[in-house]
Amino acid sequence: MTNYSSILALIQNTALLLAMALFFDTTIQYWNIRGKYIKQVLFGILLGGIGIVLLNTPWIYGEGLVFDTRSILLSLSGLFFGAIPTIIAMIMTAVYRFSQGGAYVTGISVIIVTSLLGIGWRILRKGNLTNLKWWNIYLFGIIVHIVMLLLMFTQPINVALPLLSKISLPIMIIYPSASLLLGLLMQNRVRRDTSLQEIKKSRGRLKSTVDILQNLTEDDQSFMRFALEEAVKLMASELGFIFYYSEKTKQFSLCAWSRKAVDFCEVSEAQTVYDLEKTTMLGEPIRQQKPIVINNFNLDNPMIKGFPTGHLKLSRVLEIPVWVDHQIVAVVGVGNKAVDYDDEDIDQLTLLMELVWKAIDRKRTIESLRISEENYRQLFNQAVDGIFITAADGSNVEVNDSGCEMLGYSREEIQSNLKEILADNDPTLNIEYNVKEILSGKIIVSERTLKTKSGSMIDVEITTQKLNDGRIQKVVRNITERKRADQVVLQTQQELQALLYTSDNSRKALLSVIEDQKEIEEALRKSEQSYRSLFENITQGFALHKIMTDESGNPINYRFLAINPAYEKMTGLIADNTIGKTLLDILPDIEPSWIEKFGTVALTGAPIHFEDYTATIGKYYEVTAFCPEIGYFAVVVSDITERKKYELDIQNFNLVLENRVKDRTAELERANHELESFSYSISHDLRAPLRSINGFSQIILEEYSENLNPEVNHYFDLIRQNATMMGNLVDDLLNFSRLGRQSLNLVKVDTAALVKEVVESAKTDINSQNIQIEMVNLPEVKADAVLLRQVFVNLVSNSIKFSRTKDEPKIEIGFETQIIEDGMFHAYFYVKDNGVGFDMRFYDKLFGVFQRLHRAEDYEGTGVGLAIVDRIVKKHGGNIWAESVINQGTTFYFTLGEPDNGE
Amino acid sequence: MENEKVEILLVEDNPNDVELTLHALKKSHLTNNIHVVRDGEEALAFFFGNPDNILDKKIPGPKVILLDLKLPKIDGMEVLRQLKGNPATKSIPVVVLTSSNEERDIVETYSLGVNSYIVKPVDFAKFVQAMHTLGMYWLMLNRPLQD
Repeated sequence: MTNYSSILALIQNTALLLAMALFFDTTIQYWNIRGKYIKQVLFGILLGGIGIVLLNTPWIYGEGLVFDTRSILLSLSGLFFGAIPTIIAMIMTAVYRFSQGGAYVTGISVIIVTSLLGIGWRILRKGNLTNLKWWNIYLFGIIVHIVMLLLMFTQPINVALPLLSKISLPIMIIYPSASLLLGLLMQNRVRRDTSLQEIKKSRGRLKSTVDILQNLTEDDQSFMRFALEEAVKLMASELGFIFYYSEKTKQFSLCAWSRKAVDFCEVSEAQTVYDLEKTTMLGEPIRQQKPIVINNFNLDNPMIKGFPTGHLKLSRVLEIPVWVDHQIVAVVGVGNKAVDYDDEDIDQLTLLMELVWKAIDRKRTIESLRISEENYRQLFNQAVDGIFITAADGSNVEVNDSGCEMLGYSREEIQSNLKEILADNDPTLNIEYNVKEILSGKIIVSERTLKTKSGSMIDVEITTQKLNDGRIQKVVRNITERKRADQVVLQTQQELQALLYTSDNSRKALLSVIEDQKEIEEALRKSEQSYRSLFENITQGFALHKIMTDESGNPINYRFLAINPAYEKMTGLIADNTIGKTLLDILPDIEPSWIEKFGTVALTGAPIHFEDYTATIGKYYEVTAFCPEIGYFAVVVSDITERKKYELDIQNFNLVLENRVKDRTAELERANHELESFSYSISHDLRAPLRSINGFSQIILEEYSENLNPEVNHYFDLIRQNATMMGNLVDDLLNFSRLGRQSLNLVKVDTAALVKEVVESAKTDINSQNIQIEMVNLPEVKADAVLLRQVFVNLVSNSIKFSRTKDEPKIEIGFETQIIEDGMFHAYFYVKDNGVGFDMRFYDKLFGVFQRLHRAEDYEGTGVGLAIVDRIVKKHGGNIWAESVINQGTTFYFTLGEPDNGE
Repeated sequence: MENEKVEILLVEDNPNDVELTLHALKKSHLTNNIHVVRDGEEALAFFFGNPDNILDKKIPGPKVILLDLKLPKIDGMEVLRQLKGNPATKSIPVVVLTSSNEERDIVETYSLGVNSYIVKPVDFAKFVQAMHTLGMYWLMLNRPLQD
């Protein structure tokens, strides 16, 4: 019974372990996908379940020999399922074992240690289980179970030792073997699965390759895009990119982003060109010259710094450089594979991209071949020359249209009878011999005369050569016209020679013509030389231009034909860089009006002249543009900066002067104004006290004189007289000062009438003194009538006053004109008396204010009258002077205005 | 003195001139009803008193106003302007009696509507003569505007 049940338990254990293997078998296909933690946890719970069932069905070998296969289950689970499921199973089993009680410490430690051994070995092998050898697994079983047996010592020694002696042998025989069997089973499954994946991958690669090559017909860009999508798919990646790289410019330019990446990328206005220096991750394959794998993607990685915000989130990236002719021409990258990129991925992507570039290269080669073939075909068809291509033996004739046309034969006729038509069978031409030479690579050119189908003869030049493909090409050029022209030249030459040699005279004549020609040439050369020297040395800038016009004849630009050194110096344009260029080449931003201006000169021939200022160099130029020949214009430029500077200086100086004059005028006006208010006050305030003095003295004299003694009366009389005198002085003085500010009111004045009036008003004195008045030659003049009258009043009253003592007083008032030199004449008024005269020693006091030359008791007066006269005369721009002899008389002369053609 | 009885209003600030003027007028027996004010303000107050009812008040003015130009406070030119600018007073004859012989004063006063312009002579005899003529003309010969 016990035996039976022990066998049953053994079978049950075996079955449970096989269940684990089966479970592994069915789940392995999901196993390679990482990150599926929920699945792993589920597997762990299932394994734990199996473990618990195992604990419930121990295999009882004999008395006290109770086994279960948990050590095998957990160690192999650790090795094949990995950490997470195993640890879950381990915990579940351990907890269950704890609930069973008994020697649970030993039981639990066996559970934990065997699990960890399995996990540990898996980690040690980095999960690579396919190449495990059978003895590896067996050895693993032995180690696991030796450790398990050693754990028996966790029980008291008296329990452990007997137990070990009983179970060691059977366990070490059965358990490693069971582990080996089960392990091989599971490893086999792993191997199968790996092979399956390999097959899948190669199939994918094959499919991609085929797809890529099938898509080769599209244009490069779409092809690249397609290839990239294929690569992304093949690499089980989420996204990918291709950037072209130029070693010359050290720049990347975007070729393609995979569709998904474009959808996700949110960088606004993503660049398409990047400088190598500025790239981080992208530039690494260039800098390190090898593929780059980044599996741990965090932003501290220096290779990926500086990603723009909005950039696609990356978790893993593989980048490879693409080499063509020992140069990197592109960087291709894929990213966000679910698991890490490994060496195999690098190889895969590298191989794929090599294929892509080779395909593209081949495509381009084919394309360029096609184009070159097309070009050749076009050349062949459109050439003016006839082209004939044959196989080396003369068969398979190809001929172009020109060939047919030139010879007048149809294509078929030529194909069947080329040799005859081209006269290749003409024995005189030795063609057979030539064919050998041609086949050895020599190019033969021969001239011959052919007969066209219509019977006319044409001269041809035939160039025969071997083509690269071994065929022979004949290019037939019609040189009939050339021949004829040559003939004419030859004939002319002969005629000329004949002419030269037939007559000595004519030869001489000819020679003299040649001599003349030489002389003319010499003169021309000299003129050219002097022109050249002038051109080179003149200080004015000179430039010659040809105008350029649009279809409607409007000037749009001009071309520099010549510029001289002075022009170079003035404008900074260098002849070597300028001549032959157009204005718009040199100054693209020039105003169109500038061209129009010169265009008018060149097209109409009307010269222009203007001044121009160049602010950048602070220079003024005087520019004259003229037209030496319609369509051309020349400019002569003079630097007038100096002159302009002077002009500006003068302008500034004038301005300063003007301002100064303004200031002075203002000052004068102010002074004048002050003077005016001053004299106004005088006229008002100075006279008031005088009036009082005079008034009260007068009242006393009139009303109280009887009560006063005669002396007091006399003194009051003197006071009154002086006050009156003072009043007169003030009035005169005011009149005098008023003259200064009065402006002249010039009108035509009849001086004869004026003087008559003056004399009339002085009638009383004149009559009482019996004075003879004479008026001589008084003219009409332009003067201020009021003032001129004042002059005559003062002078005449002066004369009356000083003639008082004379017996036969006479006053002459006249006008005289004296011719002085050079046709100029001197015209003046005069007032002449025969009065007391004055001492000419005091002449310089004569016209001074308050200056008197006589005693007041002899001749009353304020001493202002002549000063007023002087001032009026001067105000008219004239002059006054006097001549006097004591006791014989005085003559006053005055002019109005400068001595000139006179008044 | 009642305004109604004033025949001559003398506007003169200089006391000497006042005395001389009065003396000269006395000589021509024209001293009745002479009223003297000593500046422009007083002169205007004589006519208008309270400036608020200028237009309503009907003033039977003096027969002539003798007005000096150079006056304290409000000058003669301004007094003239106000008198001649007011309908109530503009018909009263104004004679400017001044020391100023300035052309511009003469021009301005006439433009304001002065009736006569006399420069006070320094010689008192001439002054007396002038005052006599003046008084005779304006008080005896001139027929003023009747109410």
